[in-house]
Amino acid sequence: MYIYDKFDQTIVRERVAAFRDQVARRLAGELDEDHFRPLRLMNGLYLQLHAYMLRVAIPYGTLSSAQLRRLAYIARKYDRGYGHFTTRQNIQYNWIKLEEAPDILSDLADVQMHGIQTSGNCIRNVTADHFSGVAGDEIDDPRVTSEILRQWSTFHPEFSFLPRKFKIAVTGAAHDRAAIKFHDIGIQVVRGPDGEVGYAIYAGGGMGRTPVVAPLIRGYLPKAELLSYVEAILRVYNRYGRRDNIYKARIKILVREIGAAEFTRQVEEEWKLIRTTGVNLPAAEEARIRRFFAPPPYDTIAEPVASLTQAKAASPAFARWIETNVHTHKVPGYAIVTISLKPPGGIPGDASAEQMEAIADLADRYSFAEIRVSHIQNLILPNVKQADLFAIWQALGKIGFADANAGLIGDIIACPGLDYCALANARSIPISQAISERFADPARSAEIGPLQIKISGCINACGHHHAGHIGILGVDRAGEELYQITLGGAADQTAEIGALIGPGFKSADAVDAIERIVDTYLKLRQPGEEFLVAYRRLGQAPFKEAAYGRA
Amino acid sequence: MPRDEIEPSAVSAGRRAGRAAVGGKIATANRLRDGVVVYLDAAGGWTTEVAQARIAHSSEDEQALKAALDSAVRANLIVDAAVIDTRAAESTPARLREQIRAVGPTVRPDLARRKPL
Repeated sequence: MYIYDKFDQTIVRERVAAFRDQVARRLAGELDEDHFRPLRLMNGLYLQLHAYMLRVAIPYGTLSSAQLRRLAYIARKYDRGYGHFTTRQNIQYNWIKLEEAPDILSDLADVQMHGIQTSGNCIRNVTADHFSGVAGDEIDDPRVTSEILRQWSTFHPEFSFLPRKFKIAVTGAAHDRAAIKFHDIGIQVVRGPDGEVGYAIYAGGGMGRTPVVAPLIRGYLPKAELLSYVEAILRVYNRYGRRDNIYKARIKILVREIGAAEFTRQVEEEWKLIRTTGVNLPAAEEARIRRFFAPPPYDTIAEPVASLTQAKAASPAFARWIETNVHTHKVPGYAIVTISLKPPGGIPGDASAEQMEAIADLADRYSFAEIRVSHIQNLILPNVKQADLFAIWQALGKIGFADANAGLIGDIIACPGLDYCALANARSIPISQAISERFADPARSAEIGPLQIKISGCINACGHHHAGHIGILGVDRAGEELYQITLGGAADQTAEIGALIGPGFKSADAVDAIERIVDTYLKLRQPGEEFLVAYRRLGQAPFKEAAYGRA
Repeated sequence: MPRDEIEPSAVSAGRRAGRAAVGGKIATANRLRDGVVVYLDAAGGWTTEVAQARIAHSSEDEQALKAALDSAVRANLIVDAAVIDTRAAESTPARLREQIRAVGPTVRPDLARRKPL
């Protein structure tokens, strides 16, 4: 993974020092809140319902074991012993004291981490496929592209005061595991006409109150021209994006208002002016960055691995976990492990300091000291030997993270909701807990198959409900929490926005409605047909009727 | 419907008090230095216990709450100051959001500041 050079380290250290001074001035009354708020937000420090919340950037979801251990240390020393992994592949702490925030940022800087650009109208933490570098279907490692974008966008003076926040996601494979079409810019590594590596560029996607699937604005961009083209997009947006209305300020509104074709024309025109002015990365620098993502020293291992075959035969529960939580690695004899942070009845994405430390230990022992955070709020061990899977599964069982539910109905995305968030209108986590408990039986959940439920506690859609096969949006109707259900959303390369089925359900009824929808699917599906495929074939009607108990 | 007949809201049941259930007003904020939720108490100090909040029942009382908040904001003691509704005759906040602020996340009873309201 990327290691800071002196420049990176210096700017992060200087930022800590500046923030320490700002906090001291705030506490001494020399700065009022109106002046201080933007300064703390620039360092990821929000004020939520119960305390300050610190959002720490995890660039493209890649963590070293030393960093994860430090995150655990911070949870224990400054928070209440846990953290929450988010849909931006970041981590949030919920119980932060302002007076301790500078020390926390200093402790983070020790391991090359920070909260910079995790808030505000700037280019946010770049997200990427959590299987980067190890997925068998990958054309190129998206972490290289993401790191280039990270360096380019960090403290970029021209793009520090955009009309609104700006999110970029990168996938290195045709199978989109990074939800790129729901981003302001979605980047997909593709092969060009002569087989060379470049990018397809999508722009103007997003969730929130106006969900939009990003249109393709360039089918092929040569790899070397990434930065000038992205800069051209940002320039057009910075100039014409609306600043008069916060709800219309995202790039998706601009692209929709002028049309994708006209937006593309303006980007291309701008690009002509700047593509030769030097912002593009020199090949030598690209090569330098790429070296940090060189594959680890894999052993040569023949498949099938006998011990794995034997362990699967001996333990059906282990075999089920292999089926759902272990994914094909590009190197024979290795595997990718999804550590589900979704125990039935648990809080999606939450991990205690002890759990984080145990996972850091597993990464040291079995996965070249590396961990990934997925936007689905799970952790990944990207580089494990198949022969070690049984030991890993047993170790995960000891910390309560051995559930065989990755990609299944219990693998729910949920935002913090009204339990923590100052913007929320309704709680998200309790609905998530009730659903995962209802479907806790592993056999039943395996029978249902791939099904993504995503829950947001307000229209800002941090829980990605628009992209859920089943989406749930909590709303406040005359003082009562109601839950609206959408169906047919998809976050992958077939991205689609879920359609609302009708009036919302009370919290006690929402889970029953979900169960009736799932039972209807089981009744109507063809052999082997997944939920989303069945929904696309059948349309909304039978599910809607079932949800409202009319079936 | 008389106020006391309105079904009491229960944080754990996923319900909020209806808007009709508004009783008095209390002043709340987060403490600047650590973000902890605080309420103005009868002695003019700040308490973390909602049960000790000073309840305003008249518009004059409410003005006094606002004045106290303004003064504490200016003194850099608190942030995000607000005057909020309570249920009839008690300091229990009317809205679920404020009940959660008073108690803690409903999904982590182990971290609750106090018993559920």
